[in-house]
Amino acid sequence: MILNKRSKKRIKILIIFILSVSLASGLIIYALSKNMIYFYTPTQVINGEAPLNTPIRLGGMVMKGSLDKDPNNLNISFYINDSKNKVLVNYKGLLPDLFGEGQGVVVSGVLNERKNLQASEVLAKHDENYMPPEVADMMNKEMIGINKDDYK
Amino acid sequence: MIISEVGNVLLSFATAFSAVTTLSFFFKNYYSHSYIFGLSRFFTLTSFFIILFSFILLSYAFLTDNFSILYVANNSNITLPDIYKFSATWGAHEGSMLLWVLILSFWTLLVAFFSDSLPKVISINMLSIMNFIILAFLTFIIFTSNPFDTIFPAPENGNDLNPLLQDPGLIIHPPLLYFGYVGTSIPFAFAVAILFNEEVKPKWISWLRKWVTLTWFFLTAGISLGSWWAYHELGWGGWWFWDPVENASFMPWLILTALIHSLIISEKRNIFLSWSIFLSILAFSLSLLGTFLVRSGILVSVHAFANDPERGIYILTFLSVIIGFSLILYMIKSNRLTDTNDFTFNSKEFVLLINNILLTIITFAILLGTLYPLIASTLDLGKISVGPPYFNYISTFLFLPMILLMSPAVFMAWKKNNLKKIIKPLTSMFILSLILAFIVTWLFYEIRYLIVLISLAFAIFAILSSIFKIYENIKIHSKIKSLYKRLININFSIVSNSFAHIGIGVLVIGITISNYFSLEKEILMKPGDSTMISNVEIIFNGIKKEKEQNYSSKVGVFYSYKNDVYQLTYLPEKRIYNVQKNVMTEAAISSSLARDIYIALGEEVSSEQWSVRIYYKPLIQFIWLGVLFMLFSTFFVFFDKRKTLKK
Repeated sequence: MILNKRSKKRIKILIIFILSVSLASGLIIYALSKNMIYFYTPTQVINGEAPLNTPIRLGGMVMKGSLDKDPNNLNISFYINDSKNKVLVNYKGLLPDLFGEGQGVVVSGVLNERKNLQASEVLAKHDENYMPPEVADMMNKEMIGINKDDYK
Repeated sequence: MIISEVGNVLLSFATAFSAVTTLSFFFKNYYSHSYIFGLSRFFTLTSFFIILFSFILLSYAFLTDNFSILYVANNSNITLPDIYKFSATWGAHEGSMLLWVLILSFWTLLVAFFSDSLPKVISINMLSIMNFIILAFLTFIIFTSNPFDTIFPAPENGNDLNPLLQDPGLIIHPPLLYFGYVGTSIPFAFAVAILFNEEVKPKWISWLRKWVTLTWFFLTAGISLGSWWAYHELGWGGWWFWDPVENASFMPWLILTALIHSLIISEKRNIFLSWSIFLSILAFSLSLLGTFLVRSGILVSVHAFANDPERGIYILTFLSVIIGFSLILYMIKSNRLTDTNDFTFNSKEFVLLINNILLTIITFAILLGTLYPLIASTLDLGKISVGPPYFNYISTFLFLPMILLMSPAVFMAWKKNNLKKIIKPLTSMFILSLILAFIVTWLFYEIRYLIVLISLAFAIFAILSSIFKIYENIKIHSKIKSLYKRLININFSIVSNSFAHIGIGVLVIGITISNYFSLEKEILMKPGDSTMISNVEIIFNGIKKEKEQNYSSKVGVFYSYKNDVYQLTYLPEKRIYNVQKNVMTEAAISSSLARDIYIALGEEVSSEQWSVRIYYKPLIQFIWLGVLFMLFSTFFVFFDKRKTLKK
């Protein structure tokens, strides 16, 4: 088959295009698979659905009366609960302004044992009425019949 | 009550005028085109003033504390300072959608009055398409988010504006951003009109390029102001979080940047026309997607304040119709826009094409990262979030080659390039950049990361080559004696692209250095305590209490010392707003070109003992300095006269 000059060039462009796009897609998919963080509820964690020593996100309510701040350093611990179970969270650092007992929260960190999460980040909420969609969703699924206002 | 009724009537009238103008698309051939164009122009003008008036009316309701209007009652308060009462007009969902439409209507008006270089039939089609978008958003406002809805009985006082929004930066951030977002409707309308027309002239491309540049200016300003605000207000010392809504504004920005470059090629060489048209459609689609992501509240985000599935569904439907329709149109008609000219691999246009492809790939990678959690949760694959490491990773590996290619692109010639001529200055500048990057890192920071050296070298390369290009441009005309004539003869397109590329270089330097060499301390301090960060000593003096009109605050007093010499007082605040009892952190920042020192108060852990966050951020101001260069560059675009090359 004899190709004219123009078609040859088009094929070259196409090859370059396909090569660069597949290279980039490979890179993107690799980066995505390395950086996906799964979200779990306390019940899922207690049931052993969440992996140990892998970054995860945990969401729920900050259990009332569970917040414990060390007066001598920035170590903080509290429980995150849902309707059935609770998980202990340890964190060192400053908390966001709208963090409080009885409020919805999402933390990211690593489970070092089944009931204990070492948090690296406590996610800020930006409005007291705002609830992370994951938490709102979880509450709708699990806490039907419970007055949402109790958790404000 | 009367305000609400007048407001509703105004919105209905505006809807009617936009509907009529939309119809001109179908009726344009029954009358003379200049008659239809005159009518469209008149209706566009009328509809703009009606929308403007309804917006003023809403602001008036805010300024007069008219709490019988539900939207005012939810977002204002008697004690709110007047300037924030005014900015509260667009502080929440309903009003910000009204602002969206107002700005869209303004852009449409500009197209109606400044499109003389286009044939009438294109102008009519563009006005019709833009009015259709206005129509869609006006009905959206009237049926799902009416800012003029009333509440009875009217409360005595309002619920106050979200304290986070009570900030000067946030008064202008949304309007600027919206000017950019909505401005993408111009290339979109142009693209659709061209697809129906099936012919395009370089003169029209030149017209479009200036509007796209103006849109890009606003989007750049809006995004960077948002990041500047986040840095100052959120109290976390970050300026970019890869938040879904930030991504939503960044994606159209990337595509607009690609579009500007591809339009330059289309205008100059009359090639890549269908690619330019495709990018135009893509930019607007991504803007709409952004609006959908922000307004539906389906994503975890700083900006997700309105949770209402109905609104989401409306925008999603509109989005699908627009994208579906324009892509089908593109598939059917774009092959008639075949390029008349050919190009070689060794040419400016080829390098620009590669960078265009890179920009598009980055956009899709960000799109994937932003939407993946949604897709996964819809397909029941579990609740997933894609964190900043993903975005940092892909942007490092995809932006760097692009920045490297920027410099040769500037030097290469159109059509066929003479490699011998450019290889010498380019290699010497590249080697110089490597040496400079090495020296700077070695002197002021430390040589630890290879990636820092690479990105610094690339950034300096981009800056040096741009400066050299300007110098070359001035030198050519050095024989001309008269200063005036010399100025006239300057090639403004070179000046503008040099400024833009210098800006990118400065930005990359700022991002790299502040990212890799920032210091952070989170500690407990009681009055009298001191701590060192870099070579600066910070002493905590204590807390004083202050009361303002609508909040009370605890102000931390910190002194900084360098080599035992007093330098500055820092006053970070912890505010409590009276109405909603919200707590807000106001960081104290001292900025200089070399570094920022950033102090934010945490909380009182035990009596008089406060948790404090202190950052030392080198070169972080380069980020906004770079943006200023980029914004400045657009100014010259309006003076450049590009000539289309013959075959």
